[in-house]
Order: sequence, then C-alpha cells, then structure tokens
Amino acid sequence: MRTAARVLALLLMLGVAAQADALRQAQGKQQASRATVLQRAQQELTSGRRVEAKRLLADAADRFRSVQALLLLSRVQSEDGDAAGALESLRKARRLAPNSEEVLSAFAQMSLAAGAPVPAVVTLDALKRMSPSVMQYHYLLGVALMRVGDRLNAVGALQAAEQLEPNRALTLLALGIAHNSLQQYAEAKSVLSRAVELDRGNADTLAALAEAEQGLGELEAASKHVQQVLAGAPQHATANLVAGLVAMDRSQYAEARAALERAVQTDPLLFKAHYQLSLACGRLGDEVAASRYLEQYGQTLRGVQKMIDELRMATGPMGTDSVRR
Amino acid sequence: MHGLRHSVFFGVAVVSMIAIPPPAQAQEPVRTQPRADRRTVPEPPPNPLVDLDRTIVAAEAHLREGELQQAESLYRSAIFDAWMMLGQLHMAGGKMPDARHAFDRASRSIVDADAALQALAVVDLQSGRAADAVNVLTRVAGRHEKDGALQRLLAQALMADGQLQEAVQAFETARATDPKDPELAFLLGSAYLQVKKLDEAERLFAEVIKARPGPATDVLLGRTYRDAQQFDRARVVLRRALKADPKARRAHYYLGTIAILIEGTAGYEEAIREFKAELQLTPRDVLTNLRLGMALVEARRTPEALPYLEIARAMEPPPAEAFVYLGRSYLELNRASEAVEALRRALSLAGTMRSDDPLVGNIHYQLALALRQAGNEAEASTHFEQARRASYQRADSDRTSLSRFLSDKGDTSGGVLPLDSPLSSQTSEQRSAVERQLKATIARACMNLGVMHAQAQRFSRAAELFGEAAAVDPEFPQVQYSLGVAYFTAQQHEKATGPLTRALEADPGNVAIRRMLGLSWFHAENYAKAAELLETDPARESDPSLQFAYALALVRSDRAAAAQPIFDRLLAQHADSAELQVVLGQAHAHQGDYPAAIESLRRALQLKPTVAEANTTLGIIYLKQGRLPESREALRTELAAHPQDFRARQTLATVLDLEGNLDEALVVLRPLVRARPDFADGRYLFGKVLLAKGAAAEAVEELLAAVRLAPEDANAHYQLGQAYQKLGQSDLAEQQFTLFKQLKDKRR
Repeated sequence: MRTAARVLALLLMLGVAAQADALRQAQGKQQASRATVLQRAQQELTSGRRVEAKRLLADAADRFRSVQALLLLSRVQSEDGDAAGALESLRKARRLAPNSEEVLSAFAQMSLAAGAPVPAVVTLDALKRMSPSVMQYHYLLGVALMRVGDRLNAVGALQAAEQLEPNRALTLLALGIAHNSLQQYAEAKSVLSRAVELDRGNADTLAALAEAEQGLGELEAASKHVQQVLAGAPQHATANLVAGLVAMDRSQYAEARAALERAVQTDPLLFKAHYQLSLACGRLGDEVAASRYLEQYGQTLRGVQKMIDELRMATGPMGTDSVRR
Repeated sequence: MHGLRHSVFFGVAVVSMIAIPPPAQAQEPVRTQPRADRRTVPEPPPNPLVDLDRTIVAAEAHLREGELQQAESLYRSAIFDAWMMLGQLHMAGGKMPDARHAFDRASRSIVDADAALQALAVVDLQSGRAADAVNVLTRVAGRHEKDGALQRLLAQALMADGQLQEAVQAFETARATDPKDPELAFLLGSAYLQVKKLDEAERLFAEVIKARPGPATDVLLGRTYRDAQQFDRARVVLRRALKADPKARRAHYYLGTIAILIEGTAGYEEAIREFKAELQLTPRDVLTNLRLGMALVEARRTPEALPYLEIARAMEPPPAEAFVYLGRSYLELNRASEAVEALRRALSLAGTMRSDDPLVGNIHYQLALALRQAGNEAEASTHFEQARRASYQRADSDRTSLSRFLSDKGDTSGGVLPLDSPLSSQTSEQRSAVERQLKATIARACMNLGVMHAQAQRFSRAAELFGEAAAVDPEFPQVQYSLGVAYFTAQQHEKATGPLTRALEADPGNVAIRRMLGLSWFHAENYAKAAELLETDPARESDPSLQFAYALALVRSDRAAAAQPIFDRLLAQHADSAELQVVLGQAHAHQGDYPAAIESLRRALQLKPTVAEANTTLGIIYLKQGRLPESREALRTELAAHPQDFRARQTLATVLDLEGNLDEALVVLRPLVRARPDFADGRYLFGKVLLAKGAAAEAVEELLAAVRLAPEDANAHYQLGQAYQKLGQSDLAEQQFTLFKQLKDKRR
C-alpha cells in the first residue's frame, strides 16, 4: 500500500500520467478489497461461521496491516475462549498503532481478563496519563492494581475514578474492597454504605460492607449482612471470610474453620483467609493444618510481592511510593 | 531512550538535552526513498518539520481508509513531536514556563513519553523546581535502572533539591556499576564536596586527574571547588591549569569570580584584572564581558564598563542583569532615557521571577531613579513602592546581587545541567516562524482527533481536543465553532458559551451559532442573554421547541408578561403538549398565581404522567403552602421518574427535614452533594441535617463548604456556629454567630 503510494508520487512527479492513473486505480482496488474482506468477515460472523471469519480477519490483518481487522479478530478469539490468541492479536495491533486509545484499552482489558495484571497496569497507567479525564481508565487501573496487590496505589486510582464520576456503584465497591484490604474499615464502610444505597441487591457489596463492619467490631451488623449474602450465594468467598472472622471474634473456632475453608475453596488467593485458617486450626489443636495454611499464606504473599516487583520494574515507583528511592 | 545525547566527557553539559527527537514511536512516517537507496544518495540534513508533515499525511491516509486507530496513533505521534520541538524552541528562547508546558503536553500525548518526562525534569531543574524534577525522575529512572545517564540526572536533581545524602547514594550506586568511569568519579566527588567529605572528594578527583590529566580538568575542578566554597583549593588548581597552559579557557574567569566571592568590594580590582586576562584569550565571550562590565560598574568605573555591557546585551537569551547594569551605567552617566529603556527591558526579562526577589526589587528601585531623573515622577513613585514591597534595601543590594551572579547561586541546577538546544543558534524570527508551524500542526492533529471522538459520539473527549487546538491556535479555522458545538452536544452548556460567543463574533450572521449560543445561555440559566439571542431567531415561529425555550427564558428573566402572548399562541397550536403546560404552570407560579399553576401542572401530568418538572413544581408550590405530605409525594414521584432532578431532590430533603425524617433526608441529599459539590444550598442542608443527627464533625465539613460557596448566607453561618459549639470549639462558634448577626443586621 505504502509502496504503491510512493511509486504513484514518483510517477506523478515524472509526469507519467498513464501509469499514475493505473496505479491510482490499483490503490483504490486495494482499499476496496480491504473493506470487502472485512465486510465478508462480518457476514461470516453473523452467519455463525466463526472459523472462516477468523481466517478472513487474520488475512486482512496480514495483507493490509489492518488494525480494525486485528481488533475484531481479538474480540472473536476472546469470545471463543482463546485468551492467548486474543492477546497476541492485540499485541500486533499495538505494534501498528502504539498510541491508539482503543487498542491500548482493549489490550489492558484483555490482559486483565487473561490474568496478567502487570501489563494491564502498565498500559492503563499510560492511558491515564494520556487521557486523565476518562473515568474508566482510573477505575480499571485501580482494579488491576488490586489484582497485583498494590493496594495503596489502587486506592488512589479508584478515588480518582470516583471524583470523575461520583456515585458509581462499581467504583465504590472496588474502593471499599481496597480500603478493607488496608484495614481502613471506617473509610470502607463509608463508601460501601453508599454503594449499597445505589445497588441494594449486590452480594459483593454487602459482603464487603460486612467485612468493614467486622473490622470495626460491629459484629451484629456484619453477621446480618453476611447471612443476607450467604442465603443467596452459600459459597461466596468474602461472605464466608467474614463469617469466619466473626466466628473467630466469638471464639467459635470450628464454625470459623468451616467458613474459612469455604472461602479459600472459592478464592484460593484470599490470603487473609489462609492466615485466619491457620489461627483457627491452631486453636482447634490441628497443628498440621495450621502450618499448612500458614505456608499457603506465605506463598500467596510471596506471589503478590513478586507481582509488585515485576510491576515496579515495568513502571518505576508509582504514586505513593514514588517520593524517594 | 531517545531525546538524550551524552557528551564525550564531563564538561558542563553532562547530559545534553536535546536533539530533535526521532519520530515518537515505532510508527515511521512515510519515506520518499527506500532505505537501501540512501547509501548512494547523499542525505540532506534532517528537517523535523518535513517528517512531521509526513506523519500527518500518513495519518490522514489511514483516516481515509477507515483505519482510525492507526490514524489516531500517528496524530498522537505528531502532537508529541511537535510539542517536543516547541519545548526546545522555548528553551532556546529562555522561556522556561512555556517550555515546561510544552514538555508536559508532550508527556501526555503518547505511551512511551519518557523523553518528554526527562525534558520536563531538566526544565524543572533549570527553573529551580528541583523537587518536581526529583518526582518525575524517580519514576522514569525506576523504569530504566541500567540507564547510567538517567541515574546521574536523578542524582543531580537530588543534589539540587538539597537531598545531598540521597544524591551521594545515587551517585555511589551508579558508580558501582561503572567504577572506571571518570565522569561518574567527578560527579560523585562533587557530591562529596557538597556534604563536606573532602577527603573522599580529593581521592576521586585524583582518579579523575589520572584518567584525564590536563588543564581542562583542573579548570573544571577549580570551578567545582569554587561552587563548594573551597576557594583556596580552587585557586590552587586554577593556577596549576594556567601554569600548564597560560591559555587555559575559563581559568582567569573563575579566579576573577573567586576574588569577589572571597573579598567582596576589595576583590573588584583583582577580578577586573582576571576578567580582562580571560578576554585576551576570548575577546567576544559574552559571559566574561558581562561579568567584567558588572565588576567595573561596582568599582565605579562606569564609562569603562559600557562597551563590555553592550557586548553582553547580545546574549541569547538576554540576561536581565546585563540590562540592570546597563541601566545603572546610563543612570550614572545622566543618560536617563536610555537608562529607563534598559531597566524596562530588565524588568520584562525578570518577569518570571518572584516579585519579592531582591533582583526584582533592585530593578524597580533603579528604574524609579531613572524615571525620576527623566522627570517622570508619577511612574517613579509606583516603582519605588514596588521596590519597597519587594523589601529591597539599597544598602546591601549591589554586592548581594553581584555575588549571587558570580557564585552562580541563581543556577539551581548545581551547574551541571546544560541550557543547550540545537535550536539556540536560530534567530528569534526563525524560531517564531517554526513555532507558528508547529502550533498549526498541533491544532490540526487535535482537530482531527476531536472530530474522530465526535463521530464516535464522545463529545466531552472531542471538546477536550478541540479545546487543546484552540489553546494552541485560537485562530485555527473552525476551532471555536467545533469546540462550542462539542460542549453544546455534551450538554456542557456553560462551557459552550465562551467558544460559541467567539464563533458568533467571527461570523455574526450565522443563525445556527446564534441559536446554539442562545440555548447554551438558556441551559446555563442566564435567561436574559438567552432571550436576547433567541428573540430574532427566524426559526422560532416555525419551531415550537425554540419558541418554548424563548418563552421560558422570558418568564425566568422576569418578563412573564411578554411571554404570555407566546404561550397563548403555543397553547392554541399545541394544547396537548405536556411540556408546554409545565412551563405555563411555572410561569403562573412565578407570578404567585398558585391555583392557576396547579391547574396547568395537573393538566400536564394528565397528558403525560412522567413529564419532567411538573411534580417538582407542584412539590415546591405545596411546600410554600405548607402542604408537606402532598409536597413529599409529588417530589418522590418526580425523583422516581427523574432521579437527576436536583431541585426535586433538594426540596424533598427540605420537606423531610421539616417533618423530622432526618435519615431519609440524608439518603436523598447524599447523591446531590456528591454530584453538585458546588451547590451551596445542598451543602448547607446536608450539614444542617447532619448536625441535627448529631454528626457535628461531618456537619462542620459541609457547612464550611456552604459558607465558602455562599459567604452571605446568614443561616449557614448560624448552623456552622451551632456545629462548632457542639464540638466544644467556642471561639470558632462565636465567630460564626457574630458573622450571622452582622449579615442579619445588614439585611434589615
């Protein structure tokens, strides 16, 4: 395509009008064929022939260096459960359009979905810098930072999202969870109460609110909210964690152990639950289980630290830790 | 890491910013020749503006193909490159705030913007904003731990920020990775000098001399010792340099500055001798000419000073002190008008300094004397006053300022950073021409990005980009119009009024702009302006919605009588319009005719049960009539259909408060104060209810916001006083009660 343009310019300069016309037509045809291939891919998709659609899109991406084709291909791959393929298509798109918001945003979200929060953070950090008024980038950055385990910076990003678009239940929930993870329970309760007002039926919000209440020693309120969640979702990780914590506070160690085991079954990365489980098992005299859970707790923490280190290598110190080396 | 060029040795420019950056990212602009051919054809010197044009052309080609992402990416690259070049231009012209702005904008343009961030840090360092530089560099250097130049720059920033120990640590870390690098040895030695570790410094400097023996190294060390106020050591190495090479550059110059720094006025004659010796070697050296001229003025040898100062004034960028001393010289020689001219120039060059800077005070003082000498007593007194405000004291001024210049204390970068730019050799006219081109490129790229966002229905984003285009080039074709339309469509009506006003000024006959501006004023609640603009709209008679807005604007700008015939006509044509009945109801309510208002509003609700504002208006009327339950129900119904109606929300909270239902009042108010933090009545009511609930600390926060937003609201002061009283802060409470009483008395 570009070669054709260069030759066309040269021919025009030389005054070779006939050849120039021919080339101009060839260029037009190429544009038309790119559009045709994309259109055909869309038709194949609509008809449910996804394999053929993907083939056409990959072909368009290769032949015409089309980012449009790569974005669509990535979406289809993602819908087909091919996260690795989707990410690879987006990587190719990034090489062609390294500063496109749409490509960057798609890449960050796909990375998050594929369980790769570090590249997501790096990309979202750049997006936030390039387009600071877009709430979604701050929110996703906060979520990605939470996934990495960088809770302090997650709070900052989520607060920025909340400022840009106040009273968004999802942001408030994420912010509440981040505050909980930092044991800032009063702040967590404040934002989660607002989230509950906005989205009363959300189990995650209620469970997070219960966690804040437990942290503040409001065990009755915490129990009430936990029961509400568990009635609809008996395996809910956070609700079971809080049920376990409340039981621990009440010295009901067997109940605590049962609830906490349900919590880690649902979410094996819930390191707080591992730690509490080790305590509960210790109290119950099961030292073997206690040390096993303690080891799992340590392992989870080390995994988190590894991700944070990886993140720092990629981004340099961020926000709250960027003041001094 | 593009954008940085490392010098061969550690002269003053250790890390020399900035060559014209290569294209920002992996996307290369279209080239006219294949790479292979370029081996045989001699390549012309690179012209960054041509590359920039190519990038824009390539972006536009992608746009035509429908490859929007590639187009956007290339536009962003072009914006980055253009801002980087603008930053360099401003640096070359000594316009540091503009350079900072340019690099900041560049850093927000693309993903990999480390070159811009580094440039930003360099500008910050050179502008005395070392802490900002440290913050930026800490992050960038953290991403590039093996980039020695960057680590050194960070260490230099830490030094300039007074974090000497951290700087030493940073240099030590860098040196550990490259222990044989004499440049690092020099820098670390300089850092040791600053923290008074003289032995360590001496040891490292000995390594430096061993690695690079010669007078040039001695001169550099002389300057470094001088900067660390180790004057004896400085003199030893500078004289050694001259012994080895009597023509060693700058040795005499530094010896001259040291004479003044040690001995003050007693050192002027020695300094003059040294500066003159330096000029024997380099007669046109502007800095030495400047310092010699300054020293001669101080030594009261003014006629002798003038030729040197005249040479110094040609410096690019011109230093303020050259004009200060020229002004003083002319003043002493009774050449008043020339003195005034020179000192005015000095004042404009010192424009970026703090107003209480002693140099600024000095300039005002000298200018005042010159103006008095020229017979302009009135203006002279203004400048005497400004000198007084800058706490300028004549007695200690001259020596202070001269010493400051000579010791380079004004150079907050610690003397290790460059002010170098490849554009510095261009004349200011050439720079202006390039600046215009670059700004046009940025505006063009931003406009196209804005259009892409607008086409994707992201009008707020479009407005941001049009706004950037307008800020860079307010005269760019269609930019004000596009910005106004984007704001208007994004329903940011207040913001739309500015650009639409400018667009209408440029095209006064444009009916569409006039209409949009009228409607923007309408939504921004400036009804008088809205009515004025809509009055002559030719489409009003045929467009009921426009007629409706016009009539409503008349009602709300206290011209209900003028609105009546329009409503009558509208009703005749659109008797079944619920919206029209609502406005009619509001017009009646505005005139205090509540029965007629209620009738219209009920009719509106019959026609359309969810029509906006009917129940709000009913709720307000019922509240005024003291019919609280009916008011409450009407307002709840309105909010169920239109939760964003803040008037309904605020009025409902008032009703609930009056009924003593504080919990629900808080629930109703919370989203309101979140969404409209600048709405004083909302903050007041929220604070009042919180106080009634016993949450005095939270109430104080809200009520403080309320009195800040509406300082004349007596009730807010009263409630704030109550809240303070509850918290036991009697003094603060008393202050608020006093304010409450004063405001009440004022109203009587």
